[in-house]
Amino acid sequence: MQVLDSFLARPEDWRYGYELSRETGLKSGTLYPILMRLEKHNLLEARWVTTDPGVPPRHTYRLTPDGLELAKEKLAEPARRVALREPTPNEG
Amino acid sequence: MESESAIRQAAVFLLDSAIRIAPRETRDWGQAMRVELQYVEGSFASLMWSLGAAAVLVKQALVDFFMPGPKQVPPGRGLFERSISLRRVALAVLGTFLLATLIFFAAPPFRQGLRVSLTAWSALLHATDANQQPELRALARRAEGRQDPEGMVFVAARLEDPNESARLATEAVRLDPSLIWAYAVVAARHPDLAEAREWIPALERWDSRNALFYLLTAEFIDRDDGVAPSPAEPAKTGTLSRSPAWQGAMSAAFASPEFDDYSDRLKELDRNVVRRYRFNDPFTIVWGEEQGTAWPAGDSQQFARSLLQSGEALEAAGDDKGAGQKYWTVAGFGQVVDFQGHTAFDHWAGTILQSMAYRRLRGLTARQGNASEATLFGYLAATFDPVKGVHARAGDERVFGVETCGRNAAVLQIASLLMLVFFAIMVTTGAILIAAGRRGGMAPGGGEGTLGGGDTAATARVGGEDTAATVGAEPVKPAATVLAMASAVGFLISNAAIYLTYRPYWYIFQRTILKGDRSQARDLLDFLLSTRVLPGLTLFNNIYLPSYFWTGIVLLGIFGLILILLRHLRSRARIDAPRHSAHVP
Repeated sequence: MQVLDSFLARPEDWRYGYELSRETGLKSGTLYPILMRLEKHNLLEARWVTTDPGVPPRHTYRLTPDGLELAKEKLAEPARRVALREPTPNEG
Repeated sequence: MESESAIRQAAVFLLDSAIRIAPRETRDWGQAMRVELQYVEGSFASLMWSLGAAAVLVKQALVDFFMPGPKQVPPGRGLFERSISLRRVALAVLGTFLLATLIFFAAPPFRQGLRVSLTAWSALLHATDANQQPELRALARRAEGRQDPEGMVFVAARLEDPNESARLATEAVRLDPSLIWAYAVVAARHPDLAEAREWIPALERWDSRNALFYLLTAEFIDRDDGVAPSPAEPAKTGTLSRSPAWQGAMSAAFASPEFDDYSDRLKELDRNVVRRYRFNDPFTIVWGEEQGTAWPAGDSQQFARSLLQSGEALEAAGDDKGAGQKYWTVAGFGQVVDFQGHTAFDHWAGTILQSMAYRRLRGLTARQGNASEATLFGYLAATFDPVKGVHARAGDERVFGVETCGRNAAVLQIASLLMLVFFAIMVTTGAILIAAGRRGGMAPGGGEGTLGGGDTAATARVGGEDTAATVGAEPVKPAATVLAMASAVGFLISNAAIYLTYRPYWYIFQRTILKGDRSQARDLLDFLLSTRVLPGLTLFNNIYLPSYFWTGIVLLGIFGLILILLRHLRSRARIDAPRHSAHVP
């Protein structure tokens, strides 16, 4: 969820893997399987970009429109659940 | 700075290596992680990055190796589909290693080695009553079903039960009278048999020059008179108190020009039967040959001693010719048994008689002043000395040696025990992993492998790295997964150890039993005898400590399995609790 959250913060930007790792606090072994799965389901697009001449191109990512839609939906879900599970004192 | 550089280089090397083994479709992702590595700040962080990335690629490589083929997402099925997990990889590894074991089972040396290795364990756990010799009895039933006299003789020569042995021998000879020699083998093995006394006249008619029947007759007289010296330790008493019938039988034996204990015929018959029935118990075969023709040599030594004493008495009375005849009677019978016998036991018995006689002949000729003959007999006495003589180790030659055979037997037994333990762990962990998979698959709301499934999401830690996360997370059982894979590897290694340790003995068995080359029969017998005793048992003679020790090992294994099971049940209860709470309105 942290990954989706991170993407949603700047939905139009292309993001680097290390940058996402630092933002979410996820390690490479956790982050990349998520990215790979999202990409496999066409929820994420990836491309190679050259930043400086002579430097290897970097892989960058951003959510596809479907990915954005799903992310918004899924991020809204926990809030609804919390509301169902934990009624406020006023309700009790 | 140098160490930092070295750590970063190690991180690069690790990730490059992982990229090389990654499947083709994952290499782009590997390169992506590799490029990011140079932007990671700090050498330790770069190493951690590399470790995590390598774990991802290795997992993909394992999945690709054990479950090859395209892994396309079916149209219409979403992100919530379960991905191929480490759990599945572990199950695939278990399956693959079990299949590999089936290949071992296809190899005859492995099957026979496993059987041999489990003999002592089976005896310890009292899995079978070895005294009942169930496999020999099963073979007897098959042989009787086929009306196969050779099969019956094979069993009759080895059965501990004298009555059943006699019945089979009688039936075999009825079907094939040329197998009448089987009576002699069974009679030598079971001298208390009533039938054995009836067989002797028939045997004497069939092979009238053979000393064996007179030796057997003397043994029967011994038994009837209540005197039963063991074959290897003759009674030290004189023979004057023995019955005339016994004296007559032994005189006839010593006068016989031939000796045959029919061990060659028995070995030839064994060869046919082992091939025909694919009888796969080397100890029963080899030990049966060793024991089947052990005739009562104690009587012959006792009678020889009495002849030598008579000769000394004649010598004292001045009858050198009469004394010489007595000595030569003993030497002659020793030569017959030594040269015409087929087994190490025959050579040993013949050698002792010759040595005793040559010593007396040396004394006699020396007293007569015949120096050259005295020297010759002295040389012969030394040559045939049963302890120091050149024939002392006849039939007892070893290539590997007793210690090597003992060590190999211990390795085989430990490997088979480990194989069973690893198999038990594999079955248990496999069941846990399968159960975990089913529970995840049946979970409401997707359960295993959902994007943001929320309540069932789990994280596995391998090598300190998170390997699954909220996307595609599943109820991974890291301990069970690691244990399953480790036990699969251990299982295969222990199988290989059984195969490699027993293989040389399987070839010796083939040569010894099926081709008749007995040059390493002693090694085979040493090894097989060692496998009858659990490792360590010989260190604690007459104490049951090893039995307690090994029983303790088995109990510890069972205790460990119960712990795993309890842990599994507890974790299942933990997972079930929040799942149920999610449905509370």
